Parts: sequence; C-alpha cells; structure tokens
Amino acid sequence: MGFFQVELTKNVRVHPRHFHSKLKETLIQTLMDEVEGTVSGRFGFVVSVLEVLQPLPKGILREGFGFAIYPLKYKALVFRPFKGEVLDAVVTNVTRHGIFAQVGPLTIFVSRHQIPSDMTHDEETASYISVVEKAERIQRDSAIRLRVNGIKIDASSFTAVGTILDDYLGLVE
Amino acid sequence: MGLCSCLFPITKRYSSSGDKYLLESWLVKIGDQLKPLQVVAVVQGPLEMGKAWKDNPEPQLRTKPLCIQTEKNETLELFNLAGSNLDSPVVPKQYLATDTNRTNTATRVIGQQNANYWGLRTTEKLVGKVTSLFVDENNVMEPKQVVLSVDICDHKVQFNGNCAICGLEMDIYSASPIIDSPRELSVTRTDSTLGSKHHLNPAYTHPQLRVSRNELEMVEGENTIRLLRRRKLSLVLDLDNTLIHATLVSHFPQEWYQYKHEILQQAVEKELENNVPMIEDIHELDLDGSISLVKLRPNVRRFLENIHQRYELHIYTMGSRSYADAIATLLDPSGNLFQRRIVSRDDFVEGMMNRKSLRRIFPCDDSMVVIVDDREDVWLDHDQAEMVPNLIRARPYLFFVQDALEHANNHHLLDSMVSNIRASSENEMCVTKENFANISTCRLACLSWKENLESGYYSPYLPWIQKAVENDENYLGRLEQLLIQIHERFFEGLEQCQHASLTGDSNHVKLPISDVKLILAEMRHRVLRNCYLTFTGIFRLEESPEVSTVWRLAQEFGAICSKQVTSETTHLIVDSQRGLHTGKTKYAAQRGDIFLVTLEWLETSMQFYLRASELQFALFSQSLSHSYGSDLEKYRKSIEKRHEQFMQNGRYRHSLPKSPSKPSAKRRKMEYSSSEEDMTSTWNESSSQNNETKSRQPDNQTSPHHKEHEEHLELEWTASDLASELERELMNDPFCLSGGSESS
Repeated sequence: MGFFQVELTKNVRVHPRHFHSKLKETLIQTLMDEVEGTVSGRFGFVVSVLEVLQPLPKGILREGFGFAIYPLKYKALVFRPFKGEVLDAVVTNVTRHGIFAQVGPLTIFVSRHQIPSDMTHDEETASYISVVEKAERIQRDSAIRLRVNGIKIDASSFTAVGTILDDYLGLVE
Repeated sequence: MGLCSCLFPITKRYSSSGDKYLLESWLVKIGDQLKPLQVVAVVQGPLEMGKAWKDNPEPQLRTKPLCIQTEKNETLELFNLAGSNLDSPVVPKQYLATDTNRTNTATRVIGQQNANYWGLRTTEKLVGKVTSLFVDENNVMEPKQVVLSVDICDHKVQFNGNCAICGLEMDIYSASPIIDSPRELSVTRTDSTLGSKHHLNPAYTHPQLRVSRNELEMVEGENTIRLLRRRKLSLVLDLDNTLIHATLVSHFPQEWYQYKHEILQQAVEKELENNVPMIEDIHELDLDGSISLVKLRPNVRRFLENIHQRYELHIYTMGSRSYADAIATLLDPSGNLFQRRIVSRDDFVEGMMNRKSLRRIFPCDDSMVVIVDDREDVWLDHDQAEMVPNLIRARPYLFFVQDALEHANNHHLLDSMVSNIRASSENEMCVTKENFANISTCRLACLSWKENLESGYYSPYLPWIQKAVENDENYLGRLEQLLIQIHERFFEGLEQCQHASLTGDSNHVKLPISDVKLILAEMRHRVLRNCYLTFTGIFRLEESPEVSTVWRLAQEFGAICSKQVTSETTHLIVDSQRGLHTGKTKYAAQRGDIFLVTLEWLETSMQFYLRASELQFALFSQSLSHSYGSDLEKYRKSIEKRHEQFMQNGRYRHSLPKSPSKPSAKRRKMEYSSSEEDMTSTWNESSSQNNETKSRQPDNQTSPHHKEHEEHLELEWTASDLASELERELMNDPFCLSGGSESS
C-alpha cells in the first residue's frame, strides 16, 4: 500500500489568547486538526501527523490581526496510491455501470468493462454474480482486490479508476 | 471500443509510391497503453531502391510530421527525431535517459542528431491498447503497410476525469456534461449522431461518473429488456405532498414540545372513539438536529406494495439525501421497494436546484416511465414550456395546517386565492368562513381547526394537526387504478406489436408503438372530452389566456377552450372571487345550459383523471355563507337530506355530446341544486364528500349508479319529482345566482 512518511510544512495561525505557557501544545493540536484527513496536493491523503520537527519555529505576528503564524515542519504519514498499484478495497456501491469501492479516503471506480465478462450484473440484488460459480458475488461491503488504472488528484479530493480484469484480481475471500 | 490498424504513412517525396523506411526498434510492446502523441517506434530512412539512403541533402525540410489520414485506418505520424531534444514532450524522457536495451536506439538517435532517424508516433486521437505489432525490428516498412493494431479507447466511461477503461486522464471540461441540455428524450432512441461526444451522469452512481451516450444506451437497453421480461414499467415518485407531508416542528407552536404526548394521546383516543385512522403514521424525524413531523399519506404503504408488482419504483425528491433516505426507510422499512433508486438534490453536482429532469434517471428512453408528482412546474422542459408528458399530476397531500397555507401561497393555480389566505393568516390564522370555503387546499385544514376550536375538544394548539380522514379522498387508490390501467395498456400494445411483427405485418407497425407518453396523453384527452370551457375572472387582463398553465392543461385534458361564451360552451370556469359579477357569469347563468363551476372542478378532474362532478364543484354565491352563517347546522342537514335523495332517485345516464345549444331547464335546476351541493361538500365533509369519493372509487364497492357516475361523459338529471321539489326550494333561496329567480 502506498503509505509514505513525508516532511511537510504548514502555516499554523494562532489566536493571541493562546499566547501562554501551553502554546506548544496548542500549536501541535491545531496542526493535527487542520491537516489530518485532508488531501495535500501531490502527496496524497494525510493520515496522521507523526512528529512535529523541533525546534518549533518562531511565530510571526501578523500586523493588524494579532494572530501569530508558525510555519511548522512536521512528518506526516500520507496515503498515496499509484497507477498500477494493487489494492484491497471495500465495495460501497454496485451499479449497472460498474463497482464503486473505497480504500480509506480513496474512491475507486471499476467500470463494467474492467470486470471479467463471466460476471454479470444482477439488478435485483445489486451485485455482480459469477456465471461459473453462483456463490461468488460482488455486492456491497464485499472485499475486492483491484489494480489502480488511473488516478485523479484534485486540490481537495482524489479518485481513481481500477480494474479487476486480471489474474488474482477480484473478490477476496 | 474498436480495433484500429495503424498504417505506415506515405511520404511522397522521391517517388509516387512513397518511401520505404527501416524499422529500427519498437518503443512499445503488446499490451501497452498508448497515449496521444506517443512515440511507438524509431525508424531509419527513407530507403531508396532497397538501399539505406544516407546523404539526404535537405534533412531539415522534413521537420513537419507527415501524417495522412485515411478513413478506416489511423495513420501514424512520422517526425524527425533530429529536431527533438531531451525535453521534447513527444519523446518520453525515460526512453532517452535510461540505458536499457529497449531504449538504446532512441538514445543513440538523439545522440547522433542524425536526420535519417525518425520517430513514429500516434496521433492525438489515437489512444488505446496495443494488440499486435506486424513488423519486426530491422525490417522494411512499405508505405501504407499496417504496422500495429490498437484497441482504441473512446473514453466512454469517465470517472472524475479519468477514463475508467484506459485510465487516462481526461480534460474534465472537454467531456461536456449535458445533463440539462435541451434535448428531447424520445429522439434519443434513433438519434445517435450526437452521441459519443456527450457524456452523461447516470443516476444512482456517483456524481463524478460520466458515461457516453452510446454506452449509456447500451446499458439502459439491457435494463429495458430486463424490465420487459419482468413485465414492469418504471415509476418515479415524488415525496413531499405526494406520498407524505412533512413539516418542521419549528413551524409548530412552542407547546408542541411540552404537550406532545398529551396531544398524541388525545388523538389516539379520538381515533379509537371514531374508529378512524386519524393520527396513524405520524412520525417524528430527527435530521441533523431539526425535528420534522412526517405524515404518510393514507394507504401509502398498501399503494406502494401493490404498485410494486407492476412498476419499478424510484424516488425523486428535492430534499436532501439524508431526508430522502429517512423517508424511504419510513415508507419501505425492508428496503426492497426502492433499493437504491432514490434521487435527492445532493446527487447532482450541476444543474438547477429547483428543476427535476427525467434525463437524470432515464437518459435514453422515457417511453416506459410514469412520473407522479404534485407539482408539474418543476418538471417543465427548459426551452419549451410544456409539461413532461410522462407526468401524472397528483393531488397535493397536505396535512399540517401551516404548510397547507404556505403551499396555497406557492401554488400557481391557486394564486388567485393567495391574497385571501395571506390576509387571514396574518390575522392570527383566523380564516373566515368565506375564505376557507374557497381555498381548496387548506379548506379542510382550517375546517378541522375551526371545529376543534368550537368543540373545545383539543387543546388550542392541536389544530395544527389536521384530521386525516377527509383530507385525501383516497387519492392513492385512484392513482393505483390509473397506474394499473397504464401498465395493462402498455403491455397490451406491446403484445400487439409483437404479434404484428410475428405475422409479418411489419409494414404496418414499424416501431414499437407502446409508449407511456402516448397512453397518458390519450387518457388525459378523454377526461374532458366534449367539454367546451370558458374562463372568467381567472386570467389577468394583461396576460393572454392561451399561454397560461390552466388553459394549456385544460386543452391537454381534452377540453376545448374559448375566450368568450359561445353557443358551444358547456362549462364556465368561474373564479370564486373575481369571477362572480362578470358579464360572462351573468350571461351563462341566464343561459342556464352552462355549468358554472369553480377552478377546483378543473383541477380535481385533472388530478383524478376523471371528470369531476359538476355538482360538487358548482359555483355558489359568496353571500351564501353570510346569510346562513348563523343557522349553518340546519342548512347542512337539509342539504344532506337532499343529497341522499339525489343519490337514491337520481339517474345518471351516458349521453354523448348533446348539442349544447339545446337549453334544458332541468340542467339549469341541477346547477342551482348543485350550488347547495357545494355547500355540503364544503361544510359537511364527512358525509357528502365521502359519498363523492366513493362514487369516484370503483374499488369501494359502489352501486351501479355510482359506477355510471364515475364513467359519465355528460350527466343529466331526470328525477322529475325532485326537480319540482327543488324548484320550490329554489324559489325560497335568496342566495341563488342572479338568474335564480328565472327558474320558476
């Protein structure tokens, strides 16, 4: 899985009322609140702040505001999928057009063209059922193994398209 | 997806047949995904007469890529590698920088800066998977020789800007979303020319998914076949005021919280007492902190259960996703009826918020879809102000008083009454008798409120909850009938088509003619057939009546509208406020062979798809309620009695359009009697209106009389003894229409 540890910088704004002995804790807490769970450009999804690099920088007071800005450097655990990567995902929605699956924050769409032709869509139960083995069906909350075919990273979200049209891909027992 | 063979280009420079080139090395292998302008091979040449042509005198002349397009085959581009440097976008960097076997050649090419080395690259359109290479390395390529074949991807499925098939990143703006484009749906079946460029967002998937029209048609086609096999049509249902009525608790007085249990308890007791389902199916819904009260329309669960056998059910609401889901759970706790077929306003990124579009659910084919919604204005097509032909406009279901008033304010057909309601609602909701007699939607609401006040039975804030029984006239029962009828006719038509095609009578029937739109249009057209309508007091002077909704709808329902009262006019639709003293009204009253009915008559007819009883909705004078205000109870009883007599002795008979010029004293009498009838229905809901309701509902074990009534095309009154009695009554009635005295 595409988990990485990267060093990032974030300008944290602190209200003057926090200018006291616990400023350091406030800074770290604010940083965590602001970056965890967000998508940061090309680095991917920030899962967690691992460590804030010491020493903490000196804050810069913004004129006219009273806020202090701290350019904090921190190590973060990021999740960044790559094209061609094989991931295990949880199916969230099965439609006529394909399967939507989720890997943590990442939504992956598997088109019906990328689903083996021996699996047919069944509208009534909203699932893809294997023609060969009826018990083998992909429905909501199934676990599937897929390969990422393409990734789109926006400023605030990222999505991918995938395939299960290959050996060892598809339903995971 | 299509297979494409890629030709080696003809380069006409030295001979008419073109030049030959030597394929030095492939830069792709089978199974690779081609990108636009990707270099697939390095070639050397041109070769002249089989020899390597070494000393090209003017190599730089050929810096322009040579590209010849043929119709069936893509042609690769030939471009000179000598001009390209390391940063050139056309030669992928990794081929140049690394030192593997495969890339050696390219590196060498660039290094040599030799004009005799060429790159063979794909065109901008050509994207797909390499399926085979036809020329081995170090072999000569002839002009127009097929060098490789590509499984072309036309990016028909795109997810958030990625092609879901080849994985390539698209320009999201170029894949023009045409969700709300003005395109007629029915055309789409045959029309595929507009197709592939446009991408649509299929319903029930993800807001970011875009699928090309061709692909969508294919998938939808499969779905259509599945539905046909199961003998099902699709039904799109609105929630608010159609299946349910919901109101925010904040619309309720503060006491609601305090006395909630007491009120509900009282209501339940009352229910037991009267044996009527009054308060059942009121649910409290907590959505993100705001509490709503939800009242299900009477019989809604039974309706859904029954109709589910013949229709695949969809929900299309303007509410939020969480609201839609919560209501769907209320309506269908098992989740079998709707499954995931629920559209809410959160499901679409773009598009107008206050519009509903059938294309969102059925982008390709709407010939098997029925919509039930209480508002038709949200479904209007964008450019053409026409009603969506699949729509059955439902009778709005209103249960809570406050919202009933608001709804009346919003409702376009009722805008004439708005001022009344406003005035009255300002006055502490003290709706006077005259006013609420006119206001169809909130009539009952106010009534029950008033009743409650008078009886002192409920606490003063309870009137916010309305009595459920009289409100609805079992509209869903009627709707069910209608839908079953449509379903049967659709599949009858389909079988006829199949039969015709089997017997080889295909010249006769070319296309499947079964179409819900046509069936509905025909059903609509029958409702007011042979009715000649004229309006008074309804349209504003400055607007031209032909373009108004009422006029258009009336015509859609088969009526013939005219601006002036003519010899053919059978009905005069009178605004109960402004239309009372117009010349048309007076003239029609004098003529006597014209029904004077309220707008509500027209509305009810259109909602029930049955011509409503002119008796029930006949116009009556406004002074009526004043004169009888004190002695209302007595009056009501007398009317009730007379109505019963009508029902016993009266005979309705089918009659095809009789010549409207034939004046009939009897009809005139009926008209006057009907004015009392309206009083009955207004003031005495439980008796007369329920009778009326029953007469409209054949499934309620109606008597043959009522059945006839239901089917009536023209009704005529033939009880002579009653007529004479009536005449006597009418003589004494001071409140009859201006022409009342003439009846003697």
